[in-house]
Amino acid sequence: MGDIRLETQGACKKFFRKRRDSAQYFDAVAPTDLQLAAGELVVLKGRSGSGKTTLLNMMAGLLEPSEGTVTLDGQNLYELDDAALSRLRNERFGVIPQGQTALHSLSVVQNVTLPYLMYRDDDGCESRALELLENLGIRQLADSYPSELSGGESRRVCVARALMCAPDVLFADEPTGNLDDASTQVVLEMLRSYADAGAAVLVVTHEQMAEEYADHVLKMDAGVIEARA
Amino acid sequence: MNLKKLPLNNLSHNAGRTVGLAILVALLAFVAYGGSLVMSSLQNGIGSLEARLGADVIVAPATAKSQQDLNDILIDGVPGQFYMDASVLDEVAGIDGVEVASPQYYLSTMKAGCCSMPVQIIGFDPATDFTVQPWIERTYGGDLGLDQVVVGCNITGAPGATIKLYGVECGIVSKLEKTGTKLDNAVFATNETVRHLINEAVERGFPPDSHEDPAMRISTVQVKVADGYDPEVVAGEITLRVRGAYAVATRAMTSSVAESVSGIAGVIGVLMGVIWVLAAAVLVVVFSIAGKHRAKEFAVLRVIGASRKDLSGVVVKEAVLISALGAVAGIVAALVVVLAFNGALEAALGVPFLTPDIGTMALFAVGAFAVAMVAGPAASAVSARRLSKVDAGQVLREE
Ligand SMILES: Nc1ncnc2c1ncn2[C@@H]1O[C@H](COP(=O)(O)OP(=O)(O)OP(=O)(O)O)[C@@H](O)[C@H]1O
Ligand SMILES: [Mg+2]
Repeated sequence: MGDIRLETQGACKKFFRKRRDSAQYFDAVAPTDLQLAAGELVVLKGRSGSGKTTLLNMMAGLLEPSEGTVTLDGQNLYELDDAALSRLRNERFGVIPQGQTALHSLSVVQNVTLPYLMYRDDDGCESRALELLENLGIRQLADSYPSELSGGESRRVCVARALMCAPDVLFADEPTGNLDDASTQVVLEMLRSYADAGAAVLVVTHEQMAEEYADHVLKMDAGVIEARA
Repeated sequence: MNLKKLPLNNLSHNAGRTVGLAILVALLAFVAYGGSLVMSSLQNGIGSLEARLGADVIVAPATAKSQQDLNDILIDGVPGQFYMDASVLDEVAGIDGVEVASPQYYLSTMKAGCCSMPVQIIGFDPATDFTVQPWIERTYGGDLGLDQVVVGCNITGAPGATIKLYGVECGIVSKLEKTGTKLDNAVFATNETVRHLINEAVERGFPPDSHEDPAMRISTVQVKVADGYDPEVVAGEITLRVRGAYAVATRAMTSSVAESVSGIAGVIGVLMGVIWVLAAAVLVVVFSIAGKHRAKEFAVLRVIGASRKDLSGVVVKEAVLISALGAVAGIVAALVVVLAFNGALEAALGVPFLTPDIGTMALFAVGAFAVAMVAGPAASAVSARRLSKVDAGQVLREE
């Protein structure tokens, strides 16, 4: 096991839910202690609605836990102000969100370079973006617009975008949804080799194939991480 | 592509939305600029009418018809003529409080070779005149000689050209600036020239409808009231003492015009206010609706590292660009409409209408631009606030 990078301590998320006759808080994610270490790929699986995305968002600095903390190299994320946390997300986290999230007013390659150029000067980053697209098999779509892409192609654009700033921690929420087996394999191999290069990687997926690439497989049920499969 | 260039890129990629919002801002700028131009043109018009009438009191023959004609000539621009005995001049001059009295001779013609519309000829006495000559001096240095005329700005013909009046070629020595009053349609000459015109006309066999000798008969006496005297009192005195004459203080003549101007200005003001409030409300709503569709886009920006400040910056910058585009379009449109339909507006409103000088128009344009540049971004504030507060995790979960 490598160095601990990202850690949750008792992090939980309560949401308010209305029922027909009552309304109450429930734990979308129960208090959770979880560690992501450099060089490791962790797969998180579980039924729909079990709290996977909620947990991932809390760890990625996008959703403040109701209780507990999330720390990166000892720094509590939610003690940072918005500007600092945003910058940290940009520099150290890569997130592949669930669903189609390419920006429609930008071309594929612009989508990929945007996170980089947000805080950095243009130093020829486009060639690196093209290389990422090449590895994902969609180099030829660099100048297309997201509306012209298939679901699977669009997912791969988001994978390239998440890797663009060479993050220390990579979060992938169903990165292989919409992908055929061959493309799924390409993406999973890419995530694996990215972990091997020293990053901490968390993959939320239903994909059976993913477990072969994982160092750990976690299963979530009703907000509770149940067992290490 | 970076966050600085993103707003412009977003706008060009959503041309329909951009144009729609710009049109709303343009409407705001159009109303602000067009409204202020019309208002100040009305104000200018009434000011110019007062200045151009020049005299404190105008004396005309004491018939109901001549009163109406005087109004027609000065306020409505319909050519007319009426006369009284020249001795009235001396009697008026003798009244207490009259500082200067100068006769004018009105002649109207339908047959001038120059224009299709009827022309009002106004003859004045160069020795005593104090109403026409001061503004002739402003556009033309010297004195008016025989068969020389000065024309109002609506009369065809440039200085140096001639205008045919009753068969006589009269040299146009100057064209007056636009006044916005009916005097824009008049031709000014000395009484000597007017007498020559009448004689020529009679000789050539087409005498004017009325051809009385300006030495014996006059149309009006223009009166300047001495300091410390009330023009209305002096006018009353003249009416009372001079047989066959009726005197009216110009203040009374212009006050009826001023009244209708302020009525019109009030209506325009209310109209402007209503359009403004409606357009501004629609702008806020449209910005907010557009914002809803964009929650996901902003959630993605947040995921890849944009701060809340960055996000509201994007919204506000877009609004600034849209507002600049709309403001320029609205101001140009208002300028074109007001300038192109100047005459039509004047005719429709029925009051003097004189557009302000270029400097003032530019100042108003800057003001309207500033107003639009405040209103547009302000309308986007609600949307900027909401979008910057977007809960990225929540929005992206709602697949
Ligand atoms: N903002 C919210 N308000 C109320 N309930 C919420 C909110 N966000 C999530 N939930 C609930 O929390 C639970 C966990 O949601 P989450 O999106 O984390 O599930 P998931 O495991 O990612 O599911 P899937 O596999 O379908 O993506 C669900 O029951 C969901 O309805
Ligand atoms: Mg999910």
